[in-house]
Amino acid sequence: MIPAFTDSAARRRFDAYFSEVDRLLARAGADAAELRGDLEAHVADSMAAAPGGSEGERLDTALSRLGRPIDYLRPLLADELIERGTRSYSPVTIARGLSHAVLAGSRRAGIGLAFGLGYLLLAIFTAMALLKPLWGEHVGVFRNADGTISAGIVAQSGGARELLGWWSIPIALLLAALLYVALTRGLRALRQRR
Amino acid sequence: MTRQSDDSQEAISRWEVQLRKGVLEFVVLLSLSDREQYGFELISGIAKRAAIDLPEGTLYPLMLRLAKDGLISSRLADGDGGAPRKYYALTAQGRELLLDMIPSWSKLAASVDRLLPGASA
Repeated sequence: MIPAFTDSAARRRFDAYFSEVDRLLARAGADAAELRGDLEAHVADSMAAAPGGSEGERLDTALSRLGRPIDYLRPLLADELIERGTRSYSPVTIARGLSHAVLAGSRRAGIGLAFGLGYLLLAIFTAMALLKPLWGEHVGVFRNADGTISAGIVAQSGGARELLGWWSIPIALLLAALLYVALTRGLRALRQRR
Repeated sequence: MTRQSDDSQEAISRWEVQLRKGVLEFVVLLSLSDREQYGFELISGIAKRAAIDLPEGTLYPLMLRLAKDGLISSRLADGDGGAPRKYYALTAQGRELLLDMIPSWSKLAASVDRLLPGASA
């Protein structure tokens, strides 16, 4: 329900607000049209309930009380993208969902950061598998001259002995795959429990 | 005003927003336990009766989630000016959850109250 505007400047501000809503809701899937309709109806009700003032003033008050679209739609976007990403195992969609979760703040930020670190570890395992044939003496699990163990992509490996050899590649790929499945299933289970 | 008190004021505002968001689901279910309401009526009532002043847009993604979880239902009915309005109501599942939430809330509120300075142990 769009308010009937007589003030064209107010109508432009209304359209600008809802084009931002549309831009954000374009990624929100099936609920987008329903949510937009709810928000439009809310603005119309809020303007009608205002005690006085011009159309433009009543619109500005209604939009200000509604809040910035990014602030109240971000948690929804995070949920939608994570749900879609975990269903399709799409790392790009999951990463976008996690970034929205982190920016949404509080508990979501903690969860987003924890899973973000998990996916970073996954990226490191994948990079190890890809770099091993090219930079073999710096990638793998190393026993250093002082007896300590280093693992991953190591810039300085002089004096260290590589322990796994070419086995680094299947082991890194296996760990990456296991981590990917575990993180994605964990994220999906967490989302369904909320 | 000093910078320290500005920082403290800002920290309190952030904490209050998180607190309000945390109880919003409970407050929405409580508000709908009396009768069905449309969105603007619901959020205005919450702001007035419970002094929970949140960006009003926060309500709608929450209502979508509650509907998906089967806790509320909605129907279109004529509003004051004749244009259809979406009215929200509690489902049986929502009412059951609310009845379980009320003692949990009372217990939590009482426990926190007991920690306040001057409260009897």
